[in-house]
Amino acid sequence: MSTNIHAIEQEELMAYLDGELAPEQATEALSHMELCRECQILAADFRRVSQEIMAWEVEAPEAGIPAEINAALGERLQNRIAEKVSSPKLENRTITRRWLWAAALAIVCVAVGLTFMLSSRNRNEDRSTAYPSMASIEQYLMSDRNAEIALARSAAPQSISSDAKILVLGWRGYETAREGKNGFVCVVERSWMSPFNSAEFWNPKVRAPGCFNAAAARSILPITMKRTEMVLAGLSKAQMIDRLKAEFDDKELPAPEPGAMCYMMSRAGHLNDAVGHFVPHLMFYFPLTDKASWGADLPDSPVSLNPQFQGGPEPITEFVIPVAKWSDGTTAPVM
Amino acid sequence: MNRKSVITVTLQTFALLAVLCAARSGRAADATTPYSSMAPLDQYLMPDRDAEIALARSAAPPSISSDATVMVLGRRGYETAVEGKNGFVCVVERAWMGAFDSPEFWNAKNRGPSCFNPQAARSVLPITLKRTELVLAGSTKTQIMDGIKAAFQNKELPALEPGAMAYMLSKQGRLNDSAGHWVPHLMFYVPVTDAMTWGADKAGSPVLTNPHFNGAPEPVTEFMIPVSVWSDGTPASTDHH
Repeated sequence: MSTNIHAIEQEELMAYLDGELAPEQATEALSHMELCRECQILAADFRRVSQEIMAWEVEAPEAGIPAEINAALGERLQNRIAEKVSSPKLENRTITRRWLWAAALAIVCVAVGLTFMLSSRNRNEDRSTAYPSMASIEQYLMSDRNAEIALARSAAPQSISSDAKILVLGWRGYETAREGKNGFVCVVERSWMSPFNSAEFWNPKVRAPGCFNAAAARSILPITMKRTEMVLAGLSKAQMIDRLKAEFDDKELPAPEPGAMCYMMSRAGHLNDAVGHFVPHLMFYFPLTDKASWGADLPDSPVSLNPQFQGGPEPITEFVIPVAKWSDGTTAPVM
Repeated sequence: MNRKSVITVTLQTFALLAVLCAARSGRAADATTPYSSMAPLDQYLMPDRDAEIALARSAAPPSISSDATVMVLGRRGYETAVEGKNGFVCVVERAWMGAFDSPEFWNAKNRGPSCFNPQAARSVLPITLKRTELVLAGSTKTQIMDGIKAAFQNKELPALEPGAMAYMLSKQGRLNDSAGHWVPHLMFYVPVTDAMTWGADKAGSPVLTNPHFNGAPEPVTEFMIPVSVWSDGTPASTDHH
């Protein structure tokens, strides 16, 4: 039995995992979990059990029972009835079995009830996707800090990223791993930088390296920081959207600066399950604008619109332009 | 030698000196470029108006250029040949849109098809129109530069709009003698800035700076990004940078 003193109860932990805690409580829960290995293991267990129960399905019975089995069962049943009549001890055993069945039935009822409970708790889950809810935080983290630094740098040619500031994701959010000197900031974004309606919003395998120029580091990267902060605080998608709207309204999050752009030329990234590392490309940010103003998404246009923001809720339009080579200088396939 | 002969010899001497001086001056210009001065205007014009419209439109995919306004160059400057409806304006630029120190500033063969997006049509295309106006008025390079500076100071030329960009995806263009049609690319216009703000011109970077404005005298930095496909959808070589 644990002798640790926990700042949060198990029920609160479950609520945190389901994104149901108020932001302040969620922050407190996260802070405690950071330091409490026992809670981290418990959280992982909760998630695993939750996912297993959600995935559990009762198999349908066979359409028919073969005649031989039927006959054998009938014969065994007759024998048991005969034994029961002749042996009073067996009557007690039968009563015991009834209690066992009752206990089993109770367990099933509890399991079913738990399933319903978890279903109601996980209101944010999208069961149409393989990633219906947030996985354990560990799955989003990269245990090898140097590997994350290298992955972040792979977003741009070495001539740019070697002098860039590097951020890596930790339990409390992004933290500076290397100071830079050319104004660029490189970072590996996670799945929650996808549109909120993306089926892969919680895909823990996503690793999206980007190197933001100085204008974007000041005016776009804060969105990455904010979304990450809210995710780690256990906010639901709806809460995150509301908070982002409020912060833009209050100007706590800045408008995109003119010239804000970002390199995404990494061959080692995984943007989502469908496209993998996609193609090397550059991204450009503007206040919400009609995509036709750049000729985006028109036939044979090299410009496309990234739905990442586009008012949902961030008031930012993001254009994508594929380029010919990966950051390591190798040629990429034509899109 | 009588008085008349002295006057004649003197005049001939002055004439010879004038020719020698002119020749020396001409040699100085010719030493750097075969295009030392403006050619006759006719050489910059395209006699086939429809050909110029088609060339202008080739700067962008038909999905963009077919609904764009198209301007063609006439003796009095650019004029609207086709009214558009998507805010883009396509035009074939001439050599004088190059950098002022470009040896091909007066190359009469250059044809630079471009389709400007609405923001650039409002805030960058006026530079093209202004330079052209000054050229057709017979201005020297120095006079053109002074005229452009004054136009910016007087706000006759507008400030750059955010998001101004242009398509240059024409396989039929001729940007200069050495590059020919070069590669399909997009151009982005920002207030004068250091190339490093976009990581331009660094090893392995897909972003390049175009020296043709960059404060000389226009207060505009122009970045270029090559793309993989011409406006007609055919793939382009990727070994350009």
